Amino acid sequence: MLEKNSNKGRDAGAYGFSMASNYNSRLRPAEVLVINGEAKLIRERETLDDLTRNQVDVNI
Amino acid sequence: MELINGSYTIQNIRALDICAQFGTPVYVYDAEKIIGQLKNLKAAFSDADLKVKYAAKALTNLSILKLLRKHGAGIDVVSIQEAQLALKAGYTPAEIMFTPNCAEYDELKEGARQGFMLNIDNLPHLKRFGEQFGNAYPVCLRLNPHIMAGGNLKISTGHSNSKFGISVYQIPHVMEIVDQYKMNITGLHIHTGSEISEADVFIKMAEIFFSVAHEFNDLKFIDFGSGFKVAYQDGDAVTNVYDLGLKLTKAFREFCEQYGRKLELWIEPGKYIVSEAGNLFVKTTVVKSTPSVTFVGVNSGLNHLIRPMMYDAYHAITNISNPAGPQKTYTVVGYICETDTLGADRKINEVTEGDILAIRNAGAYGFSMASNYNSRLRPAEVLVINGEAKLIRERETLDDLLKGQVDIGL
Repeated sequence: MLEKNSNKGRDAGAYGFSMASNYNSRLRPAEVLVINGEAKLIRERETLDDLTRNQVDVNI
Repeated sequence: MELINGSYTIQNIRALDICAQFGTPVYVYDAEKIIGQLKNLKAAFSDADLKVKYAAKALTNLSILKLLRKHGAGIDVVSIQEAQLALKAGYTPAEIMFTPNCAEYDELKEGARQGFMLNIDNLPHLKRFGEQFGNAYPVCLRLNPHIMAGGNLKISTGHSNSKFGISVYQIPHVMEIVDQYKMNITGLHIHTGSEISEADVFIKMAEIFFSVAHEFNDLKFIDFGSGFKVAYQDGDAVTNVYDLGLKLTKAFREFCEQYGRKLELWIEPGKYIVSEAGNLFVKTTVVKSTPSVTFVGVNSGLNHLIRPMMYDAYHAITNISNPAGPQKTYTVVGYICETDTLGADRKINEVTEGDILAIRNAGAYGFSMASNYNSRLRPAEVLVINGEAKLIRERETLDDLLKGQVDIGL
């Protein structure tokens, strides 16, 4: 994303998603790649299942 | 975790055996310690109508939530997902206190649909909620005392740039909205900040708020949040919860008398309840000497426990494989490819490759803040309960990193 008369971007491509967590039980965002003039989904937004999938139900 | 006959044990199970069974790195939580902390709070406030709302963000595994509910705790959640987890763990909507901060307004609306107690922390959303629900849905207000905290209250979160809560200076605006929509304000939540060790600071803050509380006629509870400090190392100041319980209960009862009604006293402890119950067990990958420092590398890092790097937090580190070995000075570092110090210049019983180290007080804000940075897998979680070590979350696999990715045929 470039502004007129500027070559400065927002620089969230590096160490953004790769360092993301689920803190506050928030879901990690989707990722989209714009390529050949098309916006393509390359990672789906997480769902609640992603927070619970590996949890093991034990008798408390 | 205790050292008994030369072995570190949790409820009489050797910690090394737990690590052998479940592998490392692994978070291990002691259910007895968690319940003990909850009981301490109940005992400390035994003369008040106390409601403990566990701050789920500290540690959100469903088994921990279930354990706390079974022992009489309610729950404080900060996101709609955390609320959904609380419901899954068996909490009734009425037991759930929902305190979003800078979240979308729709989360409040959804919270109302579900029947949670809503804690509103900004004026625009208060107004929208008033427009939409009028007096039909009682709510709590999250207030921030910052500008009244003054110079003598040494609370860093008291600064005027804090994003939390509605400033007590804005009470006239609050009253305008409340009156306009005839809103039913049923509770006040007082944002104090974390790691407050002195009861007197709490009391002073409470007294400021009692004066504000008189503005509202229909309160059912006052929520003092938390911030009870636990020791991360020897000599740390800690909150004496018994002293705090006595003093706060006394001040609260006096307030209730003036107010003309008995109110519930709510608290929202997170760290106090789960921090000390948790250890992160990691394996030594290498002992690496340089001319000035001896590093102990381990198979974990800031991706699993970010507090040392993010907050400069101190976590004690114990070599459970060699409890009787001579003490040497080490800097314990993680495997993440950037500065990743878990503990610098620590005296630890002599470490050799393969030794298991315990990173202590790792129950709160450990797993809940963990990431997959460096494409590392998040660890397993184990709960020791009734003398048994039980897996409550499986270690991730590579599939967890790929799930959700969409192949676009490049």
